[in-house]
Amino acid sequence: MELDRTLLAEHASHTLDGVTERAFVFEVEGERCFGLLYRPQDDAVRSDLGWVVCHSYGLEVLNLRRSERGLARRLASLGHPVLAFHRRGYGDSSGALADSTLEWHLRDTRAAAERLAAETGTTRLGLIGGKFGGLIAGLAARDGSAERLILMNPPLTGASYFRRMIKEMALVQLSIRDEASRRSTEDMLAELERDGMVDVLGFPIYRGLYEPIKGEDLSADAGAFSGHALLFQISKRSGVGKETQAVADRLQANGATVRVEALREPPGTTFGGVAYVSTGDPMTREDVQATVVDGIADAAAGWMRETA
Amino acid sequence: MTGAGWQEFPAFVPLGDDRLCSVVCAPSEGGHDLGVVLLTGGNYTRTHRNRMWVRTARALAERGFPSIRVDYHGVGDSTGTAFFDMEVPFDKDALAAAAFLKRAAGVRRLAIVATCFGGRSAMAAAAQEPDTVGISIAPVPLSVPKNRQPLPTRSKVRLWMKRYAVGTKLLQNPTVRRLRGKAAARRDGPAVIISPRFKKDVVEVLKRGGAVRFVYGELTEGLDELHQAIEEIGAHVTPEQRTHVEVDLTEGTSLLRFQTLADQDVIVSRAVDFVDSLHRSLSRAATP
Repeated sequence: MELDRTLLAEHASHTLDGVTERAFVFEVEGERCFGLLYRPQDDAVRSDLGWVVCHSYGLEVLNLRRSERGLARRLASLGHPVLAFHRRGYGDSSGALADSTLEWHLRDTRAAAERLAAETGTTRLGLIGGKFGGLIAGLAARDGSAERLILMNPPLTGASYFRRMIKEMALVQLSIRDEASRRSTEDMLAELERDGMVDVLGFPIYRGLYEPIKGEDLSADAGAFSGHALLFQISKRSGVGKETQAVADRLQANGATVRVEALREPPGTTFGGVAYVSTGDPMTREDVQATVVDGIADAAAGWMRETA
Repeated sequence: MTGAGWQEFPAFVPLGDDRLCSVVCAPSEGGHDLGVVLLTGGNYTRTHRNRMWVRTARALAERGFPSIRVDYHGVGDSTGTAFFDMEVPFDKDALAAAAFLKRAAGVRRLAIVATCFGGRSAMAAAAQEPDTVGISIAPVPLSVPKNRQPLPTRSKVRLWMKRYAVGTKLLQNPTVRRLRGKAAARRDGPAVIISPRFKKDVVEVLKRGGAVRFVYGELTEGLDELHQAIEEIGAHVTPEQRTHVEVDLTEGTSLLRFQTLADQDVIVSRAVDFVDSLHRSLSRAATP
């Protein structure tokens, strides 16, 4: 058995519709992170503003990928290099989530920004994140290094995010025959405190991450961020929710310019939920998130043009 | 990317005009002449739930087996758009990944390990790829409507409910399921049959001497249909070929959507065990 490294190198990138995507690995503190760099095929149109995508948690790492990818490709088509990456302990990266802390998440995000600048020569930074990724992006922006933010349904606090994740388990537990095995949110949080880990539908939450992030509140502290922010509220409702407004108010109080985009989800879809669902024939699954993916990319492109 | 005993290379596998985002994981040094294609169900990306295929790939590499995990077209970091039909497996995606792994890792023989819809794609690909010597499948839907006609009202109501989380959970409630089962029993005629396409693919694999392992939980809802499928397949192969079908049951679980860390450990360990035992049996067969 002999590896064909030439073949592998030749297939590490491809170009589609004027955007080149290159998958690679970069080192962070002895571990290796998977990265996917989007850049305009034509270097002459490249902007000095680059973006880093912060992914979410649990199943949302997988489910939000299509939205993140659509946004990354649209920004790249406008000339902006974008780096999507897996933090240590997630996805195709090395490392164990059990060792992860909030500081680890933030250091990985900074390392990705440095790698983006080294790869593409960008001098200005924007951060993107959906749900838990939005919280990480917001927290990473506190150091003032980012001048732009795109946050999609960010939770107000770490505690509210993980409590919601645990509550979703209660719905699934309706189908468990053994009622004795059903646990309340408080029971599970107590287990997390006691054992250092709790299994939420096959995704572990570790105390090492939960404890430092549970009190972090995007509506209470925006740190040194005072640039341009685009907040998406993607939901069934038409008005802007309290959580989104609270984050917007905090950023504006910091001197940031904020645009809030409320996108209506089609019936039967949930931002962060699965993309392919049955809508008629039970034997088939079609993409019900496509309009949301396009809506995010279109709104972001419009915002970029208006705030250039 | 390198770790203890493994190295990884992200790659975009060509599939017509599309590019499938994948990761080739190989042993740090040397390795066996048996590569593994890891396939997911439709909504999961290449890492699978909680990185099951990442752990599997690295464990396989540490034992000398290269692998490829791949996003289907229209999923994750791949290009294109997808439309899933249980009777139209993504065999072309699986075959593209298999061909790329053979070239990249220099292996001649392949195994495919898959879950759910990936199981249909795995079997369809294996039936066409003569170098595939083994397929391991975790719970896979095998039933199809006998006649795919316009949906009756009850099915439309069920689909409408499944569009909402609360409705989905309600349908999974044991009491509701029992009542629906009673109603179904009162209706005339068989509603579903075992997928003819799947049976045909399994028969093709068995006639070529391939090994097939089904990894199920003793509480898996589709266990009865699996036994029915094996019985029907048995009518088309020799008794010796039939012995190459194995059902690996885990006690006390349904393995439903791999929603516990314990279930995930089962899937990872069974995948590694399957490839390991396949390799041992191939080595024994090759020894004069």
